[in-house]
Amino acid sequence: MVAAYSVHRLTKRYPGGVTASDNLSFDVQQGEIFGILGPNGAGKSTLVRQMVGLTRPSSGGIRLFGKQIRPHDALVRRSVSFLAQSPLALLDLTVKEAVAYTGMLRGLSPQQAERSAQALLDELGIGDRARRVIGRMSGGEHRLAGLAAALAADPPVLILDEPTNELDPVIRSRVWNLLERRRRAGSTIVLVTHNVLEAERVVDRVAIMARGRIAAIGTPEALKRQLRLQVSLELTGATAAVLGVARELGDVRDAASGKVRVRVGGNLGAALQRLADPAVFSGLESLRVLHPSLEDVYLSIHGQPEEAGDDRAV
Amino acid sequence: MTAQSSAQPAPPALQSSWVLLRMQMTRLRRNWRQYVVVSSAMPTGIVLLLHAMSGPVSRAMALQVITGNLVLSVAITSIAMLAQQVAWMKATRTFDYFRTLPVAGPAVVLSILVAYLCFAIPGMAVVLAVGRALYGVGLQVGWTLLPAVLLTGVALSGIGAAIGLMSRNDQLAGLIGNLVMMVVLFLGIIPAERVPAAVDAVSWLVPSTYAVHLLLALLGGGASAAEWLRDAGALALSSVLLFWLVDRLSYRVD
Repeated sequence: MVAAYSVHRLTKRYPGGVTASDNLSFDVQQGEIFGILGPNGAGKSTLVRQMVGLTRPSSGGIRLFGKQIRPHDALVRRSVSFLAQSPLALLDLTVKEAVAYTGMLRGLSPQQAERSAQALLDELGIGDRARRVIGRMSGGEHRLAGLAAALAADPPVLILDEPTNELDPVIRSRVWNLLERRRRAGSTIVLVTHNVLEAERVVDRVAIMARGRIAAIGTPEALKRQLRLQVSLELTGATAAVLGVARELGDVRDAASGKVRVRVGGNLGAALQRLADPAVFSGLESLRVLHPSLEDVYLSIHGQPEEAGDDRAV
Repeated sequence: MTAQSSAQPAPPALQSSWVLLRMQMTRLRRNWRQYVVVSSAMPTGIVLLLHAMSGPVSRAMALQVITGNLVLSVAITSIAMLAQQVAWMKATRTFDYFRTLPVAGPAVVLSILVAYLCFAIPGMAVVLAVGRALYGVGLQVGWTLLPAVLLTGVALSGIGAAIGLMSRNDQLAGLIGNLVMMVVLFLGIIPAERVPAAVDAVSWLVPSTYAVHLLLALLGGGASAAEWLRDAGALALSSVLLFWLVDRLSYRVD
């Protein structure tokens, strides 16, 4: 099956010498959720703006369903829905108007657009706010309304720039579930996000960007294997005995606030046996095994923050 | 069925134009009053001012003042307000929402214009009423005025949209829009015989001059079909040329 997107040696240089996309090549397969991760300034937004035809590449090309695209390509505008970072065009409309009008502009009849708008809002859990003006709602609700408009008319490709920003955990979970349902129904989704932990829940493959380049690309599992990330133990209630054993076991990362985190790599069994020693075990309040996550992959590429807090117990 | 073919076909141009207009009318439902006030206060004020300063004038001069201010009323919405709105949309990337949908850039601009024009019509009615009352001239107000006003609005909005799309920000667009509006005002109100020949020659390059002539012919009567056709044709041609430019500018990418 032909790839939904095929990006080939894509380069974008802005006047002044900034290279926002540096020789990028990758495919996005039909029906997958493809994550684009990276810190601010990594080139994520420039990349997706080129993918939707809002920015012209300096060199290289982008194919959509096998066809080379140009800026404002009719195929892109018909097939791809783009959720930008702020739905300013829709602020004076009610949530339902925004979704229904967008659906009509994507080719739905007024009746279809009305019906599908209400169904979509109900699915996102904001059916009761359908008649509220977007500009008078909270930042999170703006985001949700913009997302609902982007989903209108069910386009085959969705490019979503930070869809869960400012959303509370319950709504975020609802959004991820909805995107998973869309993927199962055949939609291709390109997801730009900072929320690495949550992205891992839904993405099939991910590209981690750094300074306009792709620093790593693959499935989260493959990236963890590739970077040889190690299992860690988190020990709470660390006494001197526990700390001593932790230092014997491996690289102690964090000994703050009564917690010790230690990378044990492939020696998990031996480490647990050592901790089972009654003299050590009696000083332990809790023990958690931390498997490597996509966030560890991200941090290994972009650097560890000092005193990193990490609560990914598995 | 492939994913590609599952995309909805692009809507017909008429449907998308109607939806865009509804979006704009919905958008303006909260602040339409200010548009009515702005588009009527200035032209009405100028009619009152000129009457107060000059006293009774000839019928031809009275018609010139009334039609000049009608065109000014359209220019306020089509040039000044539109330039500012379009520049804001460009600067804030609000245009991106429309540029990623299967709709044409000029259709977006036209939808904003028609919405603004709807709010300019009450202002124009006030100018007509006040002008007729003050100068005591008979005006032939008929249905033909509506397409003439629409044609004027479209031609002038091409200027407004181009200013908006070429300006760095909405403040600058507002400033340039106001300057252009002043040009429209002077060329529209001052009779050709009272301006230097060079200015008169330049005035025929500006669509507002044809708009004033067309409205003069409609309101005052007596113009030949050839004059009507020349003025309406010039406005239509300006609209086509300006909207070609708007199309190029609105689809300009980084």
